[in-house]
Amino acid sequence: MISKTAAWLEGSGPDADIVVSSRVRLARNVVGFPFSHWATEDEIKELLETIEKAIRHYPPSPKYLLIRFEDLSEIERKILLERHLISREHAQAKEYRAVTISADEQVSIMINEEDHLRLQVLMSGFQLMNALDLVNKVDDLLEKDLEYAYSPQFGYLTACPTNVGSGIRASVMMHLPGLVMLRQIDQVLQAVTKLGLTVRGWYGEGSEASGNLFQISNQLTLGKKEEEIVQKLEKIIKQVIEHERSARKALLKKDFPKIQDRIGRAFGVLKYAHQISSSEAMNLLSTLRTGIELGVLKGVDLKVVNELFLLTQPAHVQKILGKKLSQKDRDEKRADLIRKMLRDEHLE
Amino acid sequence: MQCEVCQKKKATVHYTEIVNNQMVKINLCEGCAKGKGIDIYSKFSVSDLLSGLAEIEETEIAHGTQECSRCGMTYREFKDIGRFGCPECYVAFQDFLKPLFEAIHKASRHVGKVPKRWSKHTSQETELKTLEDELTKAITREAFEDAARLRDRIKELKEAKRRHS
Ligand SMILES: [Zn+2]
Ligand SMILES: [Zn+2]
Repeated sequence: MISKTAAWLEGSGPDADIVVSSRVRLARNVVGFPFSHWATEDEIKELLETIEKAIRHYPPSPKYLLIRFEDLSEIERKILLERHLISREHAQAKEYRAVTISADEQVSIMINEEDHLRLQVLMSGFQLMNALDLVNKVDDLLEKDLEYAYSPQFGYLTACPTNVGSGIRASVMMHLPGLVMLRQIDQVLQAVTKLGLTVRGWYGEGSEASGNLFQISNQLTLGKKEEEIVQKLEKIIKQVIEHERSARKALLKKDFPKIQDRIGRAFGVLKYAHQISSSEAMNLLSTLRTGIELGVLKGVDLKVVNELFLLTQPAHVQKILGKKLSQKDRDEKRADLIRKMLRDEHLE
Repeated sequence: MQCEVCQKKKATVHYTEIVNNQMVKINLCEGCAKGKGIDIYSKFSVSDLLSGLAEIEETEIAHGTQECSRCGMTYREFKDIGRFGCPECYVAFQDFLKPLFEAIHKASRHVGKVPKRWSKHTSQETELKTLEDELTKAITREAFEDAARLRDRIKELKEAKRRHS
């Protein structure tokens, strides 16, 4: 799995120059069992076996993996986390937890996370409706064998009251360097949250979001149809895309040489550095990505940049090297990896 | 800057989230950030919401010890943890849930997807509601023959339902 890129990182799909990936997740629970956090070890074990049986009976794709966490090392679990196949909470859990992953990594099913099942579809670019269709199909298959906890009044019953009803969480990961550079990002994101959506961004040292990546998702799950929830999110995201496009245009117009210089420098550092931290790598890769998206940087493939985003995350670096490494060693090995991957890339 | 959780290590992760139009900044060390992860928001907000609701507050004094007969979780425990114990808790704590869901979701009734094995039940439920409405109307306009026919059909449906459950 580690040697190849997940389908959602291909850099393809609609509006892939701004929307990195689209994800739709459904929370489901099996009737007759307590929620995972409240269940006894025996119940959790029985649940796992019941769900595994249903998945073997109705697999999410012809080729898939069913992995129990007790068979994974800590690093391997972190890899699944870095690949967005399991959640942070799930990565820390121990026995009787599992995940099912389709060969192309588009479909994953977390078992015994906060909810008994979390069905997830992750796709490259902006295609939330396709993701919803696929996750619904997987859901329809599994409900043939599994009786879900459901009530006509409250819908799908979930461990946390914030997920009840449809159990849906739809989100997009957006790359918004234009709005960040023009300092319009706070304004746009605040408008987005006013419309009832949640925005998340990770900030490292300094003021800029690391990698200029933002995740935007729906917050409400009860009282609206799944399609309506996704359509509303789509509509708002389309507006953010437009804002980002005009920000990029304005930037190119304003100070083209400066942008060109910044992108060229990022490429230079990545291509020749011998020590690099994951947050520096993230930020430089974001700049590189911006260069490709703006058409300033020719000759470098978006897919290579996406791959590097993933492969330079701490657990991936360690897995590729086959051992646990100190931070300093990691920084060196990360730089080696990037140099190797960019060896054949040249600016036109 | 110190980590706001462990108060020991240096805060290197400055996590920002915009929730309900408010910017929340939390400064964490790397370890605590990993531990807290993205769930910071939902864990805080549910118990905040629960303790912030006056309506729930009142009834809670009387029913704080009310517990789910299936899994043993009390309402007070639900309030502290912010998570239900089992699907049956939704029945046990039903009285408190409407205001809670209105506060979180601005709605308290599901209108989305219905599992296949429930779709038959749901259509029966809808039929029952329609028949009951018609019965009331029939009685009002004193159409007693219609009313008798409707009453029999309702009885039939209700019995079928009882046999099923
Ligand atoms: Zn700390
Ligand atoms: Zn319960």
